[in-house]
Amino acid sequence: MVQNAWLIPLFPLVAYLLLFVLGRRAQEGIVTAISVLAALAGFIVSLLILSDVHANGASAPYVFHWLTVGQNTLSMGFEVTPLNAMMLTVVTFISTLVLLFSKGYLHGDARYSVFYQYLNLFIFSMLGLVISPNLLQVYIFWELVGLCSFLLVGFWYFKPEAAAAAKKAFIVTRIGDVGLFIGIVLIYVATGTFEYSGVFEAFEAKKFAIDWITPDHFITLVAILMFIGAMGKSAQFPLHTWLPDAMEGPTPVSALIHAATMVAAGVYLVARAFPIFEASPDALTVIGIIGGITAIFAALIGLTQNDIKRVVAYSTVSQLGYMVMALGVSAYAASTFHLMTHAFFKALLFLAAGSVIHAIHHNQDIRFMGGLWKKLPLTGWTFLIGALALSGIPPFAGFWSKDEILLGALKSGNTTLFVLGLIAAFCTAFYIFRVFFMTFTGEFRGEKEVYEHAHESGSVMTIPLVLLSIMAIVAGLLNSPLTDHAFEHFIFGGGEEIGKVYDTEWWLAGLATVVALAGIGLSYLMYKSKSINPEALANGPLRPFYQLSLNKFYVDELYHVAIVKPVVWIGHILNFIDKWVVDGIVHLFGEGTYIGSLGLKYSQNGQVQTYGLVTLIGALLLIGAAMYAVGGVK
Amino acid sequence: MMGNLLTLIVFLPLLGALILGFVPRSNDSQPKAVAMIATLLPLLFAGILYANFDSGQTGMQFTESHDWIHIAHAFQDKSLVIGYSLGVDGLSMPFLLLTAVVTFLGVLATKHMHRAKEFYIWYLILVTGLYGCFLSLDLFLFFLFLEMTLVPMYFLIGIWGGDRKGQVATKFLIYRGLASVGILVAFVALAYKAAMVTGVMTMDMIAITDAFAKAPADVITSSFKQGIFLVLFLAILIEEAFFPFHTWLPDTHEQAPTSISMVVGGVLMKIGAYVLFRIGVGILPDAVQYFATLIAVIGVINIVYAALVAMVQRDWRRLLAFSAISHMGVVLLGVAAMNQAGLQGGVFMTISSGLLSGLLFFLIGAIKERTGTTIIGALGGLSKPMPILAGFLLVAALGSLGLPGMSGFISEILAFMGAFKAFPVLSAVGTLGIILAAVYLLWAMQRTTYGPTTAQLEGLPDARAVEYVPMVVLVALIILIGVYPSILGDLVNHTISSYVTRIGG
Amino acid sequence: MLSVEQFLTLGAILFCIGLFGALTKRNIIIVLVSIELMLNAVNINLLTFARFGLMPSINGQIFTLFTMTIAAAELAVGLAVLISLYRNRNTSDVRDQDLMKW
Repeated sequence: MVQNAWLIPLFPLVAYLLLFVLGRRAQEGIVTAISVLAALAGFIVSLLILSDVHANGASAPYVFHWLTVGQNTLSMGFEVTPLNAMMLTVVTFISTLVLLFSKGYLHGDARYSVFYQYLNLFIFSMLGLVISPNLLQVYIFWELVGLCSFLLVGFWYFKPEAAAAAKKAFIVTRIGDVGLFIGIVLIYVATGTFEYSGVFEAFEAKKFAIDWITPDHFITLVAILMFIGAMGKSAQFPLHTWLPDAMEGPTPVSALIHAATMVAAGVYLVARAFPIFEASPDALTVIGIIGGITAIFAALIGLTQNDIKRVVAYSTVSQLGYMVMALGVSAYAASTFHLMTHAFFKALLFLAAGSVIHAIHHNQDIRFMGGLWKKLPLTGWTFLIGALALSGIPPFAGFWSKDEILLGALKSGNTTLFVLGLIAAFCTAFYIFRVFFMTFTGEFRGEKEVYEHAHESGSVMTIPLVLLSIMAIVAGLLNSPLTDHAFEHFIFGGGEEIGKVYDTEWWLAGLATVVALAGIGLSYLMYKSKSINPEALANGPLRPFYQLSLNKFYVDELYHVAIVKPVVWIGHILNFIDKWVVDGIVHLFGEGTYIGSLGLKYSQNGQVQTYGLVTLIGALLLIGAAMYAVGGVK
Repeated sequence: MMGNLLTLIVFLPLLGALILGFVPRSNDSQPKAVAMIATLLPLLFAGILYANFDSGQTGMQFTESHDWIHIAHAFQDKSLVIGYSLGVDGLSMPFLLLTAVVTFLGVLATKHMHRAKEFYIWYLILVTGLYGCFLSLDLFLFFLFLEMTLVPMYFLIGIWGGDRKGQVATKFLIYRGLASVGILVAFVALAYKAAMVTGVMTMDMIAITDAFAKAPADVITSSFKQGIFLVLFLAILIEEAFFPFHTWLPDTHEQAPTSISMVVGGVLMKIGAYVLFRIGVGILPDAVQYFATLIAVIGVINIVYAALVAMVQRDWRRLLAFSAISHMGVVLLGVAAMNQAGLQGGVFMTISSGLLSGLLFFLIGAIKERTGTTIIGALGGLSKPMPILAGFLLVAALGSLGLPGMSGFISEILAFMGAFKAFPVLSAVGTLGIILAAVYLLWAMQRTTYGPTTAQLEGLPDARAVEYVPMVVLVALIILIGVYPSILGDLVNHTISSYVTRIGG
Repeated sequence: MLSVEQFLTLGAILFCIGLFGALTKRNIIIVLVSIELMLNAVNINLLTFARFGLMPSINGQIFTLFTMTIAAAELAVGLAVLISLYRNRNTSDVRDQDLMKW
């Protein structure tokens, strides 16, 4: 079965091409049917491959020749490892549901078919990235994923904010991509190959064809460069700013970006190329610190945001921080496990949020929501499950994975990271339940009419919610002591352990649960029972912190002042120089010649006889000079 | 048949120009038809050549060689031999195909012109010059063809250009005329030195290449080679519009009509790169290596400088001109690396930049035709009235900023794979261009096609049937090279390999 | 027998007269005639050297024939130009023919 893995990305590609051929006026039903069937077929094949890998372990990569450069060959191909078999299954599963969900959400949009084209291309790119056997191919699909997010975030192109958000998403991730670009090119220069296996061998032996840097420093350099790429895609601080803005895209896109396709790519890359990072303790430390900072930073911002999607978006950034932190402390299994569980409950949260937004006419501000539980019971239930999973309440999925990350952080001896993680967990529980209480309980604070018309979405939207809820409940059990850590054994492919694995510490699990419950409790007091007035707090002693969080720590403004403005100014200055100095010198020559000729032209008086006289004098002078030169007449 | 195919390719356009001389001036459609045939036939022949081309071979193929000018005792005891010889190898084949495609599409892209007959006559003469440059195996012949591109361009800009056409045409002529002087001096010096080895003052490229390769160090000193190369390199900098000799290019693109912009950006300015590969790397590899750092520095300056300047341009055509300069900087960087990946990346980038320039200038021309402007700030929301053109603009912009799956990416990564080996720090600075390209191209593209549609842009017509041909052909080629680069890589691989083995790197 | 010097002196005199005329006379016809004088002076020199030069040969005489032919052609064209100029501008003064100034 493994040799058929190429089918998985092929399905969405074929679907994309079909939809492209059918054109933008294709019927909605046909469009959806093609897309969902393709994704579903991919999901089924993924499941088969998953079971195959489970039984037989990883396969060797299948490659074909792509380009010859002198004696070297660049190849493309695919491979199946436990990690990417897991990713394939998750991506296809969530994609199928998102495609289904979009039928309800995008119903009636003039560019419905185009939306599905982009989605299919997006899924194709992500699947292609996942099954890549070499870094070059990863980079190719990596960029394509970025392109698709650009297209989808800017799907409503006529909205200036959407256009700006799309551009920002592309450029900010591209800054990271250049890091990855340099990283893989350096790897090629040093090892002569892009293939994972060859690269890992070279990194283990520390034999590099590079002389301007010591092998150890080279490893750290390359690992950090590649991590910069992952930072861009996985929205790690300080390259996180694009992700919340990407909320301008349609909600199903957000679900796909946040759960399965775009942001997962960064974590996946670090996990897949883990031997490179493992070879450099320094790089791992940097990764852990960045992850920890991101986790707490985004959680703090999430506390005060009022846009339902933005809160969930910041929770994504925060959770990605967890995953990256886990990789930084070598908790490989915990990180990949959280990647999987997070995919389920985050897709769930987004789709549930989408369902809410859809029901109340595309309003996203939670200050104008409230009391929707009665109107949207199913959405409410599923959102609650997602929120519980995100908060890390047992037995929901997030509990098991988050617990292992905290464990890894603690055992690695880096207590700071552990404490950061705990605080972030508290904040996470607080803000997601703030959203829950403000949305589903209390009185509706928007227009009455909207509330009257609000109703539960159709089955194409609720079925994905229910399926994801089930996964958000049970997925965590895969790596619990109850199943004897089945996930770990699977992800290591029956071979050696990658990174570090620790036994479950029950006191830690209890502590994490208590912290999360405390967050929920505080949220309850503030937004449900109203025994603490949040506004009084925000305008009172905590006002500076509130403003800081509400304005996202002014990072965007800082970038604007510190980077965007100066670069544009440099551009203007250079353009000025180009126009008046570089071209100015050219014009100076031209003008000089012109002015000179303005004076000299009067010698051209049109009198032929004058010309003749001048010629005569000239000739005589020349003859005289020539005779003088040869020594006169003898 | 095969024997004279190259001559046919070179002179069919000229024949077309001759025929056009007899077409009555009043008729508007006939000149275009003639021009179309006179460029389509070479395209077909180039296709035949491509099909029969043996990419496993390093030498020249389909050669034609005749004695042309023979002056006994022209220089002391050495006689001057100038031949009429044409040929293709793995290096010139991509350039030949590029010329064939872009010049044909240029005719298709030409809208109704006043004085159509004259326009096409000049255009066809220009095309002959372009073909000749890439196919000549004789330096003298090459130079003739190079000059043959100069004069038609002067009139094409000067008569059919924009509001500053006179000034820009003169600027173009003077700049490129200067470049010609440099090239001529270098050529004569090359031939003169080669004559010291072979005993005959020949202008034949192959003979000169051989002579330089096997000449003892005391006959052709390395300082002499470096001297020639500097002169040649200066000419290339002008020819190829590199900073600080680039200012003719934005002006030319801004003023020239669409089809001429396509040909200039697509083919004409690539002659400089071709000379750099053929003469610089081919005949004077040690000099290139000697000046490698200088070349790389100039390359990086161009990448970053042009990208920064492009960022603040108001006119699409000026922006694209600077974008092309920035891209060609990557070529310099790749050449400076003087290794397989770098050189191959340089050729890839040259071809890719040619195709992308052709496409982008065509699209901007189409937009100008509809909206009457190329000022980026005056456009907006074009996705709504013209989704097809907007879609192609998106694809072209993405290709130009180096999105994988299109030709720009593979060129960039190959060039950098070579460059990072030789100049890690400089190359790292050069990668700034990758980010900046995304910034200015996305900004301009979004400003044009995204956002709300203003009232006067509402209801403009989308692409016409005939406009699909250039767009689809160019996009198909760009994607083909991006997805399956071997189609271009296999052509150049062996020729580049032979260069690389010659320098022992 | 006349000597080389005498021939050359004659040529020089003729040339100077022609030159003086060509540079000073106002009437275009006189100027043209003066140019003919100069050409003939050159012819004399050519013939002299063909006969008495270091390497006597027929080349000089052949060249003289060329010169005469060209002189004839030149005169024809010159007169034609002159006539049309006179018709247009009603003058044959050289100094008035300054259309080609700046």
